[in-house]
This record gives sequence, structure tokens and C-alpha cells, in this order.
Amino acid sequence: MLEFQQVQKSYGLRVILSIPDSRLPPGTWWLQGPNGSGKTTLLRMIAGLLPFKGDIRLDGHSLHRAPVSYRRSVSWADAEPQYPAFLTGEDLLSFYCAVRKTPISQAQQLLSVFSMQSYIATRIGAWSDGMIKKLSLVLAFIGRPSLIVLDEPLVTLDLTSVSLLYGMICDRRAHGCSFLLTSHQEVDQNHLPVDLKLLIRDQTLETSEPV
Amino acid sequence: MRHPRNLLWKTFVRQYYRQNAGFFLFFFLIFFGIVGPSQQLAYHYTLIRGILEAPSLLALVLFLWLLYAAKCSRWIMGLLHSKDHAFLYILPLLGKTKTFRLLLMIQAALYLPVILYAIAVLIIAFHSWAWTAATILVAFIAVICLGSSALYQYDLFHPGKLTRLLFIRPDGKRSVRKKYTPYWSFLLRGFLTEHTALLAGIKIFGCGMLYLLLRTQTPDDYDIRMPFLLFGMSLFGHGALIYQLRRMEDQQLLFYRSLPVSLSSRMLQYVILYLLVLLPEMITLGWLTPDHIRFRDVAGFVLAGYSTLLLLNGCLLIAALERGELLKLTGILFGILYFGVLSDNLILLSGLFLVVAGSLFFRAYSRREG
Repeated sequence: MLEFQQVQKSYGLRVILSIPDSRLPPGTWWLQGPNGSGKTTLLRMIAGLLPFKGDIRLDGHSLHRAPVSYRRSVSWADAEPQYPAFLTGEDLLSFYCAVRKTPISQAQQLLSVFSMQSYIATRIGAWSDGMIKKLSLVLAFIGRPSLIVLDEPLVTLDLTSVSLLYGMICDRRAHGCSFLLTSHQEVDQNHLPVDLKLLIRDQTLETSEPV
Repeated sequence: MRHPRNLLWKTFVRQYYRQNAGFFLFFFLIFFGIVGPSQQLAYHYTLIRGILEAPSLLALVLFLWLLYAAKCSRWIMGLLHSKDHAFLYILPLLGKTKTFRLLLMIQAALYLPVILYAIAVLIIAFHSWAWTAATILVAFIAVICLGSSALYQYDLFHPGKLTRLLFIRPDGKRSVRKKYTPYWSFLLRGFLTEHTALLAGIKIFGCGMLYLLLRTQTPDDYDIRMPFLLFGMSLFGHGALIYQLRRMEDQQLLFYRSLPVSLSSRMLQYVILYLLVLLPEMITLGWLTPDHIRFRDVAGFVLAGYSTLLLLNGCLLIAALERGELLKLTGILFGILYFGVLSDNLILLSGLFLVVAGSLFFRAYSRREG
């Protein structure tokens, strides 16, 4: 369960987000809103990347009071991921597995889903945007987080990879993991059932049942 | 021809010098800051005569110029492959000769600091009949400029081919190796691969100057002020490195902030990183101890350098300083430390820097905008 406690995010004097006490039950949540409404900011706050007033709790772990336990429960993939060109995908995978205390075999399974083994040991500087995007998704799935935050996960993915991603999400969902994702592209709800739609309007978060 | 030239000038040359202002300031200080204005000509004349007469010094200079050429090439190739500069792939429409001429112009503009110094060397070489050294220098500059331009041209006319040749190793399906690479090693590799020339320059200058100045010290005329002054100059170069590190972390290593790592473990990454960065200076000082420098002064030098790096790192976490502001801050910190040398309080002030660096880190890290 994700809880917001008087969350407020400002840049200078301008308030970007102001979310009163609220809770989201486990499930798959699709966050919507026009460009510049604060979707990415909210996702980054939940991922622990941005400072803000108030608190966010996940499964009882407070981001501010227990930052390590909180971050162990949440995982994040950026909309336009960037990694140092001199690193290899293998470097990042082994790093994530070590930090998340996960056996490397899990990373190998995830790689095989996206057929990334042939280039995972090469430098990221020579990869295409799609290859980097897949890597960021694989990294987000490493470990056993209870919430995976995906910012525009469908962007730059080919159709095959999109359906593979839907499969990965459904599989994790069956094991109790929640998902919060943004997408300007239509999410195929036959393949990826959305439990709750979230909308950022007037700097706050509104919820609605999916149609 | 004028429009493409202007566009390329803005894209490659102006941006290059703007982004590498710290790098050039550091080398400017090395070449023109260590002797007084009245001794500049004599100093450089002696240096150039050394280059012309000692083959080993000439080889060292050519090696350093080669490193700088690698830095220029990395910059140009990086822009050619970046998404923001995808429009540059229309250049081949100008034809091979015009494109090559434009690329040669860019390469020459980026390599200008070396070319200017090489011209000074050549003038003295002609006057002193050092034809062999002069020929080697001319051939070297020509090969660098023409060769690099040909490389860029090949990349423009055969997009992706060079990248595949250089980087991709098709090795079929394989399992992921289990070897864990710690976070500080990512940062260190960033220095070694992305800022090779700056790092090498700082280390060669810093260690070289420490060695040369301290070796001449005897117990009778023991004075560490001048060695510390030059050691401090290399701190400016380290400041430029830390600035680049912060940029890399904010843009390409952002994911690390979202990972379940405690603040003390995060701090430890920088503690290890800067210890390794300062290792060459530590080895140089250790080599000269105790014959040429006292144990207490070695401790002061190392602690001063180390605490300054950690403090600059902490300051960049608190505020997004621009290059100029960071240079000013480095200057202030160095001034405080130099006062420590004069008042025999270097270790005390360095210890204070360490405490401030630690508290800044713990206060600022989680409050920083990611």
C-alpha cells in the first residue's frame, strides 16, 4: 500500500504538487495528466529522487524515516534512461543484483525475456535507444520490490517488446507487486488490466476507476 | 560554405572551449602561472630547448599532445553520435572535399593550443638548426589533424560502421558474469575514460612538480611553501574533475539515488574514490619521505588535498555551482589552506575541512534535486 502524507513539492515559490493524506491499494495504477502537470516529478518523488515536504510510505516504510527499507520496496525506470557510455549492461546488472541482494540468475531470466544476452557485455555507448530502454526496464524488475514505478515504459519499445513487458508486469502482479506507470500511449487493457487511473489535476492527485 | 562553417563553429568549437574552460585554465596556470612575468620568456625558451635536445622529453611532449588529440576526437565523435546533433549527418551532401575541409578546420581549431605551442617550438628549432625534431613535430601535427579529420569523415559517410568496429563485440549468447563492480569504480572509470587528458595532466603536473621541488630540499633550506603552492594548483584541476563527476552523476547515474543504499555507504564511495584519485601524489610524497619532506608535512599535504576534494564534492551537492563559481570556491579553500601552511596549522584546518565535508554530505545528499 502506498500512502501520501501531506505531500507538497515546490520549485521556488511555485507549488507543483500538493497531495493531502491519501492511500492507494495494491494494484496497477495508470497515472495520467497533460505535459508539465508533474507526472514525472511525482514518480521521481516516489522513487526517492526528489526532496519534498510531507512523507510517502510504502508498506509501512517511510521514505524519510527509513529511506533504505523504503527504497528496497520500490524500483524505478526513467522515461528516457541515460547511463555512462563506458559502462556495459553487465556492469549495471551485476551492480543492481549486488545492491538489491538478488541472485544473478534472476537478471539472466529477465535478459532472456528481451533477448539481450548477445549485447549485454558491450559498452552502452554503442547501444540504440530501444536497447537502453529495455535495460532500464530489466533493472527495474531486479529484486523483489513491492512497487515498480515506470515512467513512459512503452516509449521506444517495439511491438514485440511491449507485449513482453505486459507479460512481465502481469507475472509480477500475480506475485503481489504493484505498478505505477505513466503513458501517453494507450495501454492495452486486454493485456494489462489497470486497477486504478490516477489523474494529476490542479496540482493534486485524483483517482478514478478505469472504464 | 559560410553557413555550414558558422554552424559547425558554434556546434563544435565554441561549445568545446566553453565546456572545457576549467581544463584550459588549469593548463594555463601550469604553463604561465608558475614563473613570474619577467621570467616567462626564459622559462619557455629553456623548456623548448629541452624538447628539441632531449629525445625523451620530446617523446613525453608528443605523448601528452596525443592524449589531447584523443580528447578532441572523443569530443567530436561524441557530438556526431549524440541525438541532439543528428542533423550533422546532412554534411555529406556538401561532397567529400568540402566536408573534409570543414572537419579539418574544426580539428585545427580544437587542436589550436597545441598548434600554437608547436609553432613556437618550430621557430626555435629553425633558429637552432634542429631539423630532425622540427620534422617530427610537423609530421606529428599533420598526421593528427589529417588523420582525425579522415576518421570523422569516414564516420559521417559510413554512419554506424566505425562504432561497430570499435565497440561491438558480437559474442553470441552468454551468461552475465557475477563480478560485482562497486559504485566508486563507475566514478573512477568515468575519470579514466571520459577525462583522460585532464586527469593525466593533473597527475603529471602535480606529481612532477612535487618531485622536482621536494628533491632539491635539504634540512638546511627546508621550506614547503612553494611545493604547497604548486600542489594547490593541481587542486584547481581536481575541482574541474569533481564538477564533471557531479554532471555525470546527475545525468547518467541518477538511478543510484533510488537504490537501497544507506547514506554512510554512499559517503564511503566518495571516501574511496578520492583516496584513489590522490594515490599518485601520496606515492610521490611517500617516496620522498623522510629525506626530502618531513612526516608531519606529508600528513598535512595529503590531508589538505583529500579534505579539499571531499569538501568540494559536498559543496556541489548543496548548490549547483557553475564552473567559475567552483573555481572561486577552490581558490578560497586553497587560500585558507595556504594560511594553514604559513601559520603551521595545516593539519588542523584540513581536519576542519573534513568535518565540514562530512556534515555537508549528510545534510545535503537527500535534499538534492535529482
